[in-house]
Amino acid sequence: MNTPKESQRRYIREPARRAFAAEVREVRLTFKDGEDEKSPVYVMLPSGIRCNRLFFCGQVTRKELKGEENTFYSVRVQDPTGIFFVSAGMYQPEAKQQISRIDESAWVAVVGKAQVRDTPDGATFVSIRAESVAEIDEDTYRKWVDETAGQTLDRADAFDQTEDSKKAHEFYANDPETYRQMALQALQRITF
Amino acid sequence: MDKITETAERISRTIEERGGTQDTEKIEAKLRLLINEFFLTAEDAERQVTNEVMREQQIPVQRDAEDKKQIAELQPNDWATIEGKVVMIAAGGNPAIAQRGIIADETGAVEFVIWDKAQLTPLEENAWYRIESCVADEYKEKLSIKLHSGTNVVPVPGMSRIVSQDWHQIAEKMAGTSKDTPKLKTIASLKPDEWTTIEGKVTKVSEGGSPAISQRGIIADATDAIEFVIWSKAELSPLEEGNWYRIESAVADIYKEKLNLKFHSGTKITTISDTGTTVSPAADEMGATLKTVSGNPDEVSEIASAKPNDWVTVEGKIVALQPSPSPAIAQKGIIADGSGAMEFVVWEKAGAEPLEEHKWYRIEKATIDEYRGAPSMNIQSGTVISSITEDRSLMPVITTIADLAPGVACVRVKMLDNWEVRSDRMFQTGLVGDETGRMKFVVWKNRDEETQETSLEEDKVYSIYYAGVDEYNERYSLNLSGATIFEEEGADIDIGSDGRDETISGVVIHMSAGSGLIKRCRAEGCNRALSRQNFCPVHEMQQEFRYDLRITGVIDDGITAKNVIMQRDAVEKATGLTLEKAIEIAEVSPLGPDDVFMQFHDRLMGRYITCNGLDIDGTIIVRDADSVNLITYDQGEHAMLINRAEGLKGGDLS
Repeated sequence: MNTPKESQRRYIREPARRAFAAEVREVRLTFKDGEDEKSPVYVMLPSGIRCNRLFFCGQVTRKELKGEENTFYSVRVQDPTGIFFVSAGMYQPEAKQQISRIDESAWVAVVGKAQVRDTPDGATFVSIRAESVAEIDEDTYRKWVDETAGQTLDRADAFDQTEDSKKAHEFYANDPETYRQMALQALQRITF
Repeated sequence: MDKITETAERISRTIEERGGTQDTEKIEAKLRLLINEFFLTAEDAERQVTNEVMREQQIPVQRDAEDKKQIAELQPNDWATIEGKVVMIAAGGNPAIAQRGIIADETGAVEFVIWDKAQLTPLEENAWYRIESCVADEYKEKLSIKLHSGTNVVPVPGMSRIVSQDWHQIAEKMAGTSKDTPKLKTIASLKPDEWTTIEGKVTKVSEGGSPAISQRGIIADATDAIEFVIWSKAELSPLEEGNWYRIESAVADIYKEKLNLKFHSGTKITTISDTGTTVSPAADEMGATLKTVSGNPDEVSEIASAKPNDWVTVEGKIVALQPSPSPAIAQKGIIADGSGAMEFVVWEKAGAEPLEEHKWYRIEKATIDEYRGAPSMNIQSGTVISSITEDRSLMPVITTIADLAPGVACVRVKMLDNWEVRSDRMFQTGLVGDETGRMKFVVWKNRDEETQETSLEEDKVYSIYYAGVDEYNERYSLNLSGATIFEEEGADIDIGSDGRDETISGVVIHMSAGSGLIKRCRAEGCNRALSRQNFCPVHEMQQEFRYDLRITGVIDDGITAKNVIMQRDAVEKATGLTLEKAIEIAEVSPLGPDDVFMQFHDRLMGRYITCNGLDIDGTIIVRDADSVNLITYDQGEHAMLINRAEGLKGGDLS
């Protein structure tokens, strides 16, 4: 046959967004792009971009093995603005194994997906289900803070100019100035 | 006895015949599992279980599939590798079948069936393929080959041999088994790949325009009109304009996005009385655009401007002669004039005096045909050839890579990269480039062992005259076999950026399992990565291998995620581990090669890195140490970011 086949839709990997803990903590909006069962699930970052995956760095402040039969790790990772609550259970065997080798107070890089959950007492809790955790050095952590500050500033600059940021603005009723301040404070904590 | 039990017994017999011990019950259980739980076809399951048991019992695998067979020698139950041209494509006719058709080589033709489960890319009509490990099968005394998930289909671009015409009979039989045949259809309801019967009026006829086609024309009924094509081999008598016909077992086909109707030797044509029906007005419109031989054969035209279905007179120089691929063809080669060059074929029937290389000729009334998207000149019995005695000068016209189109062209390029040769017939393959872009090239091995192929060397500049430009899957490649190649000493070309050379800076966010210390197959020209059990996807179990380092992963800058493959030199630089060290770790560590993977992971995951290389299908290939750099924290950048964050506070840009 000489008819050109419908070009096959290639799977495109979702990028891992860079955001500070203080922003991720405020995430409330979760949505799916498409009706399909396999359509990706996103959270809307308040600074105005959809996010399926996150990449962040920080220092491990607490590491606990929880659960009875199905154990899982609960890890706190601190960045200059706050804490990421990271978990890895039976469905994240790689991350679980990697966390087992990491000590408290180590610098780590985490790839994972944000989850928004309502707690029984009516509060909302944002945690990160880890795909991969690696021990890094402090230099890489500083690099991440710079990169994340830069991308946070980029989003603040484009606020209300992109479809996603218009939706974020409507949903969170927020001010992009918050994220500029957040980026500046994060940058000022790095003294090297 | 059900089919699975039957199959299990057959496998047991095979195992016994080859000196193994049979265990029909176990085999049957495995078969049931594969067929019922994993939905494998009976054929695939049989193959898989046979392989498994033979491996378990260490029975040497018969390497039948490795030997290339001619289609005429295929026997039922052979596993074979064949090479042939897809001469016809038909619809699957059954949801389990993705595609059916006929493939032919010089010795014969055979029907092929591609199982839907095989998930193979559909074959294209008129293209050549090597089909490795297919199964020949007999059903109702008719031999066919089955392409399953284990079959490897390798396109063989640039191949042109005349194939056996037996396929017309097979096509006839396929038509005979089709249920659709007797049902009369309206032309408007025809669909591609369908065997049909229609009744209509021939509104226009014309000559075939090629030796393979005896007649073309337009046939119409009240609903619509369609172009028809009669193959010369079908030996059907020509249709007459204005008459009504009943056409049985013709096949509707799409050519150049246009539906047409092909008449084979199995097609039955009967004249019927004029039904008096007014035919669709589409007939007039199609009649006007019917591909007839055009052009003005009395005037000399430029080779570059000749188009398919033209009828031309040219004056040109024979710049290359190639071995004749078939007894029907007397000569084959390339003819050039000041405007360009084109392939030509002198048919045996033309009875022409042999053309001599490097001489000029006037060729009157040749027809231009299209072969794989490129124009080609046919010298037939009506063509007049006269020798031009004066020696004219011929300046080859250099085409830039960006402007290449299928056909014959001259290029001036720099050799950039040698790629692994993955076929026995291939001599060299790789990448060349000029100021406008890059392109893959291939040099095939000479049939005739006396002449030596020219090997291109990296970083040297070459003028290449009269190379073939082939197209496959909308991509072009240069076929340098038979081309005249001159090295330009000391020359250099700045290779143009065609967007395929890419750099990404970001975080190593994912490392796939294929990363680390790997083993590669040492079978000649293979070099594929072996599984942990030393299994090569093509050459199966290998005792011999060579170690290599590789990282396949994803680099992510927060905006896009990009696949990268780092090759040994790049991996050594990025991880600080040499191949020798990695081999030592793998040999000493209780974790074996996993230890190397874990060390790579620990050294690179979450780190910032810049990678540069060619982007091939969305993956950046990072070849050498210079193409990879670790990125570290930069105080200057940090200071600039603080300025930016402070400066923008309050939204004042000034």
